[in-house]
Order: sequence, then structure tokens, then C-alpha cells
Amino acid sequence: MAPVVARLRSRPGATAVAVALVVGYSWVAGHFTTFTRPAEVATFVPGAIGVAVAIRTHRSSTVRSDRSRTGWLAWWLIVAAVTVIEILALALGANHNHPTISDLVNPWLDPTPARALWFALWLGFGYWLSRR
Amino acid sequence: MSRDLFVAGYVAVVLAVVVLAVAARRGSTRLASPADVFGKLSVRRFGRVAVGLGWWWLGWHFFVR
Repeated sequence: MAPVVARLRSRPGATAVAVALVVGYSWVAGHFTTFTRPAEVATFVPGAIGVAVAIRTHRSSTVRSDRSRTGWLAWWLIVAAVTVIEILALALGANHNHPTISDLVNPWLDPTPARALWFALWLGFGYWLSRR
Repeated sequence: MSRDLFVAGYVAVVLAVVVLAVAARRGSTRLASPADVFGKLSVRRFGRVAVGLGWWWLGWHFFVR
């Protein structure tokens, strides 16, 4: 992945093509509704590529030693908080009065342009993760 | 009322993430940034694959199911 990125960075035109591909792919994927084969394929392909990159990447990240213990703990508290709220919502039936994150987010994913935008953000997030 | 409490909880979590990320980015603190957190998770291959699978599941959950 790193050589690919380095090559892209050395060619501004290639970066523009890569961005255009992501935008185009996201736009097409945004038109697919949930529970359909096209949506499965459109999501499966980049996901499989992302996991394959994670498996093949040999670069090892380094842990920042200048971060305080509290600085790490704060993030785990956030993860714990959102996990507790989700479990609580699910335990109480995951209905209108006890919504999960999905219940709140799904209406934002309905319009095609919004869906395409979120899909592009998901791809961008995956790329960002691959750089860690 | 109950719904409002849940929404308030999620909003509080999002705000906490934003505040923490911005504070960590300033550099004057010793707080870990989101990049630090995912970097720490990705030190070993197992962690990288777990993060990758988590990202994949996120997309599958929201765009397929």
C-alpha cells in the first residue's frame, strides 16, 4: 500500500484520478438499496481489499510514549460509554424510545446523495486507517 | 423522555470525541489523538486485521443490512 501511495503522491494527476474513482464508486454505491446483491458487492469489494491490505502490510506502527495514561484512558471510557448505551438500548427493545445508533443514523442514509457521501466517507476512513 | 436521554447520551459521546480529538491535536497536551489510538491498535498484525474487519463490518452494517 505504501509504495502505491508514494507513487500517487508523486503524481498529482494520479491523485485526482484516485479521488475521482472513489467519488464515482461512492456515487454508484449510493444508489444501491440495502438488502440487495448490488449493495452487498459494492460494500464487499472495498472491504475485502481493505482487510487484504491489513493482512499484507508489514509496516509496524509505533506507540506514542509521550502520551499520558489518562490520555489513553479517556478513549477507552468513550468506547465503554457508547457500548453501555448501545447494550441498554438493545436490552430495552431497540425501539423508538430506546434507539440504537443504527436507528438514529439510518434515516440519514436514505437519500441517494447522502448515502453516496457517507459511502465516500467510509472509504476515506478505511484509507486513513490503512495509514496508521 | 426516554428517547431524549438516549439521544443526549449519543450526542455527549460525539462531543467528547470531538473535544478529545481537538485537544490532542493541539499538541500541548499528553492526550492521545484518534491516530494514536488506531496506531496503537495497529502495532501488531492481529490488531490491524481486527481494525480492518471492524471497518468492513461498519460499512456492511450501514450500507448492506
